[in-house]
Amino acid sequence: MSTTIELTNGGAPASAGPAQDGGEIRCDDLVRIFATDGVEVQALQGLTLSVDPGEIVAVVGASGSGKSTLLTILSGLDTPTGGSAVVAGTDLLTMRHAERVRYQRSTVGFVWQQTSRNLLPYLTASENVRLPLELANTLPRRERRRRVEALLELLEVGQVAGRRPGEMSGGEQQRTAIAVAVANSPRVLLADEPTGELDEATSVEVLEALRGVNRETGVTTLIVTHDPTVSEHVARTIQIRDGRTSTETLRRTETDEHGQARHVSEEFAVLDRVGRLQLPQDFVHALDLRDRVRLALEPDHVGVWSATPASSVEAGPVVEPSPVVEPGPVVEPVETPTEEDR
Amino acid sequence: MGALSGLGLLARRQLRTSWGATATLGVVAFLAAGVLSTAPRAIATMHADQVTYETAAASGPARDVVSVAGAIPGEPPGGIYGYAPPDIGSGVPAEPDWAPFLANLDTVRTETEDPLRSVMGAPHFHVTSAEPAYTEPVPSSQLAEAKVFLRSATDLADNTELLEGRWPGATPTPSFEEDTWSPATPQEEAPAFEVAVSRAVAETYGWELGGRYDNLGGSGIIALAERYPALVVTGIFEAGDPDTDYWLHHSLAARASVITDPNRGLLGTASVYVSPAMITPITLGIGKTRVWYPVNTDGVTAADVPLLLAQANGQSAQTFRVPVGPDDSVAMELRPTTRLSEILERLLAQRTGVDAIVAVLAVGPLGATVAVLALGARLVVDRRRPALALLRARGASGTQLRLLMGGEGLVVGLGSAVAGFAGGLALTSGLGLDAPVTVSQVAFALAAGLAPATALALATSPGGLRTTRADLAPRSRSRVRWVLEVLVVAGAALASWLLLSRGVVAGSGAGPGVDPLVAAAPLLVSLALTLLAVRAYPWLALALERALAPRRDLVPFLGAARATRDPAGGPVPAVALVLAVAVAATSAVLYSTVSGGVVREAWRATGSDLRVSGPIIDEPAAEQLAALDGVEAVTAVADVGDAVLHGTASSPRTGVYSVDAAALAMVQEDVPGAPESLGELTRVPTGGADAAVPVILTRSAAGPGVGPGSTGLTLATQEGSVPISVVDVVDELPGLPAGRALVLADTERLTASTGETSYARLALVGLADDADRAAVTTEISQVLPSALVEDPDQEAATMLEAPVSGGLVIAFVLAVLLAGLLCAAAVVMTLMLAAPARARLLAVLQTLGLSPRQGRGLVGWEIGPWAVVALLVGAVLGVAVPSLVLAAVDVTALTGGVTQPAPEYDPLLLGAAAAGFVAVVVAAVGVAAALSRRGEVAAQLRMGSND
Repeated sequence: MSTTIELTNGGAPASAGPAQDGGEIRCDDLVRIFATDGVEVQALQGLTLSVDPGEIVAVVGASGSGKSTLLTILSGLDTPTGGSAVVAGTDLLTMRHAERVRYQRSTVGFVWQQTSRNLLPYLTASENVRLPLELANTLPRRERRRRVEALLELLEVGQVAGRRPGEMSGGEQQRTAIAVAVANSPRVLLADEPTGELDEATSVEVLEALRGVNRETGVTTLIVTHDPTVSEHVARTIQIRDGRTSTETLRRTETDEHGQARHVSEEFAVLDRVGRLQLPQDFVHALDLRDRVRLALEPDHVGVWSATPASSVEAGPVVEPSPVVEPGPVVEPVETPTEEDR
Repeated sequence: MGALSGLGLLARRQLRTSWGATATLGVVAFLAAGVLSTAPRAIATMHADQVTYETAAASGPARDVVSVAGAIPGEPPGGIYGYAPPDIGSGVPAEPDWAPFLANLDTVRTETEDPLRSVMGAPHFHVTSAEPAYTEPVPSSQLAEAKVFLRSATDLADNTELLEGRWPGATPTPSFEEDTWSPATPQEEAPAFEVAVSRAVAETYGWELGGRYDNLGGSGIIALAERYPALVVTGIFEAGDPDTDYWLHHSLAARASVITDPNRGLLGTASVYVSPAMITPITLGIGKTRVWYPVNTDGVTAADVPLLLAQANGQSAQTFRVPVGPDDSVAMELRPTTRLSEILERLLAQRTGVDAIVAVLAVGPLGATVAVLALGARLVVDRRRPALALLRARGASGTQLRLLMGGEGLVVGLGSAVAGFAGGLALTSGLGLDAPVTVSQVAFALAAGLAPATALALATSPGGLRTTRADLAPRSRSRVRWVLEVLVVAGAALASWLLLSRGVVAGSGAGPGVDPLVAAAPLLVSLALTLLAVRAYPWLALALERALAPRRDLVPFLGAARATRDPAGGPVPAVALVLAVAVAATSAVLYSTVSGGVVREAWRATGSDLRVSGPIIDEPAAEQLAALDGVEAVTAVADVGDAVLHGTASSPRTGVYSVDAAALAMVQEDVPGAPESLGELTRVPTGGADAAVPVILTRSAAGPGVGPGSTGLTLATQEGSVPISVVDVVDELPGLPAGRALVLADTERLTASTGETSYARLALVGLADDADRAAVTTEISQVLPSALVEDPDQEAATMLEAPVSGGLVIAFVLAVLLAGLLCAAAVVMTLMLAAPARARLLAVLQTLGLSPRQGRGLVGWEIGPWAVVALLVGAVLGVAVPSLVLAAVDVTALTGGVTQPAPEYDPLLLGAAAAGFVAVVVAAVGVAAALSRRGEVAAQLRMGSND
């Protein structure tokens, strides 16, 4: 990608910007409770998340896991019930009305799943990109046009600048949507299922566009998806379960002794500040863990044993407790050959 | 790209993309501006027309500014004592110059302040002898007495056509002795003085041109026969219509009055004209001057009426000194009075009643307009919701969003309001309404123009743009809503209590303008009942749902379930629907009450199919009337005179009337308000002739403690006391004076007891059902030429012809039409609001096999329950609101009579109103269905996955 783009304030590139308070996005014990007529729904139950400046992170989770709630909170559309959420220095819990408007104008940008929800149908692509600039009204008028052109070029949709969303393909619409989202040079880009409506090839295209924007502008990017393949495009994938972050998958590229590049992904359980962690669902099923387990502190790891020996006949030693979960690499690193052309 | 500037382009593009809902707001603004600017002017014109109508309907003497002074212009008051005979020898008196007097009279007028000045016309006057001259009756005239008042007027020739002869001139006066003159002993009699008479008078008196008729001495003008033994007719003129204002002021000149005296025969009275030069010598200066200024209220606006009334009342408290000439020492004292005040007071009373009713009627369309605006704004915002939510998320502030939507509303609203205002102006000038445009009308139109913008800006709630899950949305506003509803209900109760405890504020006492309490109470009551209905609605719907759940067909259950769990529109369309029904019902009830009141008052006043009054109606005359074709029954009603009713707590003075009770019972068989017990008046007293006479009393005569069956009362008449027994006590006796203490007895019974015979001057005539009223009226006029024949239907028709009556009917119709239109708009909008959700539901159901007919059934269920609730609540309001209005507003000025009418419910009108409402709702459902029949099932299902 050869296009370069001028950055105005706010777009802290990953390489240059120092981490603030340990991250561009910091959520600690984030709680969101919906309560109506005496019925409470805990959408987030103490979620902890930290994303460094310039990082691109995927958040995956099943339907109802709380990932949409997290995203609406991060985009400033909803207020958490408890805990803390700080995005680019803005505390989302104490945010006032005017701050919220400022936050949405210049701190975050987002892309939704439905192409139709990202773009106004009766405006052309370039007009759509220009709209946030008009709303924010910070860039001098004559520069807005140049910026719109540059953004469309950056996302390789310059050729559809004069078309309305209805006259574009799904991929073009989503890439235009990304251009709209980063028009005001936000520090954080949130994407909610950006590939949900797209076919596989277009999905890859859009994800690569997101990565490209992340690389070019250094915008911290959070992609929420239930599509596990998204995690192949990002270095860090965070899984949410029951309103909490449960595991994280880190991907890195290694060069082995044969000079062959390999993608290595490692899955970790997330341990929060007070030491809570979630055991992966398949572990629990495999050993039929229920109600309570025995823990044992070993010199270099923690052992978890089923508390009811009868139920774990097949799972492990009955008489002698044996470690079920070991900290450190939970799973053996999965090695997949890198497709060189990717 | 360069065209994009700010949010303007966005607004333009938005409007171009979906303009339907916004256009509806524009139409509402157009209508509102048109009606708000036109209706007040139409009402002002109506009131102005009513001023003209009422004054024009009144006869001259009942309207004009009149002053009668007891002197002849230029002569000292007191006549004979200041009168010096002009010449001792006979001489011809010179004609007095009354022109300066007329000019001075006009000065009185020009010095009056407006608007009274422009209402008064140029003055007229005539001078008439204070006493009549008795002339020898001509035998052919069959008169027993022929007296004439002598009159002089300067404008007689201008108002008459001389048929024969010439106008009377001055003739020599009698001569007196110089020292000891006495009018009764002239030295020499004067020759006959010359008079002019109208053709009608000449015919009645049997006078002919050149005829010489002797004056009789004894009474009348002092010593006329001694001084002027005779008069000679030198001119006969045609007076034309004797009922014109000129002849009503020149009383007895165009037509002689002939009354029948049972003892003496026919007594004639007339006025004849003498030369102005002669009036003083003949009357010895004892005359009266009648000055009048014709009143014409053309151009008087309704707003002038209170001031005019104050001026008219103020003028009658004043005395004006009007000299006859520049060197006149004995100026004439004028005390002008006008019965215009009575007309103006009646006008004010009518206006208060009309304004109050119009205010109550206006509340319905106004409330429905607000509801439609709110619904329309919600619809527009709903259609724009995705875009607005996106803008909001992209960092548009709430103010920016409200400005965006408000701007859209402003462009559409102001344009429509200007068009509506212009349309209203064109309409009013086309209809010939010339009331001025006031600042408040422009302000109203402007408000109508700003209303869509306001509604849109208010409906654009930034917090409510994102669709929320119903189970997760907190109900935070419920407390505010409760407080507001409690306030409205309490306000309604308070306002009703205040109105009811205050009672009817009669006519002009209410002051100018609309009483805010009268206007607010019906609105508050309507709102309160609507809100209660909205609160009760879920329970009713739930009960319905439970009741319908066991049934096998889907539509009623699903419809009821949707009505319970996902009610379309909520309270706003309910308010519009309820107000529409309430206005229709109120209009129908008030219309039938007022028009029914008019008819009933007319019947109450006439008391029968035809009311014949004037000449004495003795038994032969009554029989003659009864023999006429179409006449079923006739009773003569005799005014026996006043009597004191002894034996009651207060011994009131009562008016006693006697009738042929059996005939009256037949005559008043189908007259509303007639006593049921007329037949009992003829009951023969058990104790023979001395026993009590059965009578019917009015309530004011009976007083407390006297009821049917009361005995021991006696009636002290001029002839003696009569014991009476009370057969019945009634509120009123149709055909007899209203609001008085009356005693009604059977003529035969009363005569048997008192031995007194009274002459009846009134007959009540009952007609057969198929009788031709006009023909019978004509025949009665032939039998009794001088009788006044009144027909209740005609009286009622005349009353209903008044501009206020017509205007009120138009107001009723307009209010119902507007309410119906707005109600239809509310239904369409409610259905459109629910259309996207319904389209998805129907798409899903159609894939499951729902037939289109069942689909329409489901649409019907969205609005049907509300329509039923609106009909029920509207019916309650149709009873409650007119009762409130009639409890607070005096409508007797509109109905005539003195009793406030009770609300009347015309089942036909009310049924039509209900049917009309149902038709409007059905039509609106059809329109909404046609508007939303665009989605295809597949598209809907795909769309459904988007959300």
